[in-house]
Amino acid sequence: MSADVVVASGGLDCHLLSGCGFPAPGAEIFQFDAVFTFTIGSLQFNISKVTILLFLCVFLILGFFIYAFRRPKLVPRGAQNVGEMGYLFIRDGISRDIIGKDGDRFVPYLMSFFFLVWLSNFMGILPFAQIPVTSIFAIPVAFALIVYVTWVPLGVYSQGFGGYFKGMLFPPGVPKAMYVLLTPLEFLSNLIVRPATHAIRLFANMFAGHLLIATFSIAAFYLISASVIGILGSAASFTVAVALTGFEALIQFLQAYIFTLLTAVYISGALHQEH
Amino acid sequence: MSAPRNATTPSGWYGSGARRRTVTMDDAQRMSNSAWVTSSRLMSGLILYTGLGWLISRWVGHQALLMAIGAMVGLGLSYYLVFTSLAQETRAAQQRNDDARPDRTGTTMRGTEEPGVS
Repeated sequence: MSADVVVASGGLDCHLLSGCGFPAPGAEIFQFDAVFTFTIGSLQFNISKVTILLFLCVFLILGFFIYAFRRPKLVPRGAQNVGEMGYLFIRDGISRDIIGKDGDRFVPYLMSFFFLVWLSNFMGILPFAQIPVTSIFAIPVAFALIVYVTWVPLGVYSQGFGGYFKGMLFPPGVPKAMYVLLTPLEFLSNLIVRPATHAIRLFANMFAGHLLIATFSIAAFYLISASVIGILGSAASFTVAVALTGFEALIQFLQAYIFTLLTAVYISGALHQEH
Repeated sequence: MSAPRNATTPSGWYGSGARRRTVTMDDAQRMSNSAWVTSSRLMSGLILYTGLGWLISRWVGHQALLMAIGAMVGLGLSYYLVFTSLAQETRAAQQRNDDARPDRTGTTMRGTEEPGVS
């Protein structure tokens, strides 16, 4: 149990029979004080644990792939093997399936997103880190915005301004009069709901998963007391917390995969004329 | 002994017509796109027309009524859009499938027909 959870659970001597009530975790477990601050011009930067973890993820990924491909050999060994597996997973499993052959130039982009999101999610179950970086809403929003400012100009670039927005806003096969009702709907669906759900899907999954693990960890700690219910309940909560941690590991991978998959779907829609 | 000229790979349901209805890579790409588009269309139809109903009701009165009507209209339009675009897509996929399938009549030699194809 991390120090944050102990602090959040109302102190070290808050247990079932001490009459302090169950200290349920809330949104405050996602708020971290700044470790240090600095100012550039009029902008103040608050560097908290989450910021540090995000940078750590970036440097770990950079470091690993630079190390893996520093002297590439025809027959890969060791780290290069792992790096190539990751590359081929994104290229064949996502890019070629969704975008097609012309998606190969987007593989580095998709791969950066996949590994960054996965490692950021993984920080949720890494001992001592224990906060999924992507459960802070600003971070998935930033990721989704980067994707958004990629596929909209890409669509305009590859299909032309008129052609792209005509294909997006005027679905074929409906009577002309219906466009009055359907075009605003398509506009909202494609240009606002799409990027919003892209960010919210990742954020909400990570937020909820972390909250669940925290709740059961705190319950395991809170229920420790000299009573049958306390011992059984604490053991059960601890078991559930461990099982949920394993489950979270799966969800973290899945959410990173879905985030990358959706990025590929959006890029594919921008590249290829539909209908 | 060499295989017959138009023998196909033995995997799948050998001899049945099922394997001819293949899902091509293109179809898979289109399907994956429409799968994700459906959810955002349903959502935005509801949001847009419920919001519109709410705005009109603020102007006219009858708060709950117009909002409910807006929600139903929005959901209806979303379903309409989803179904028409899926139908469109199915038709296009059918068209592509028909174009891609080789014309077999007359080219099959006697004795080399696959078993089970009626």
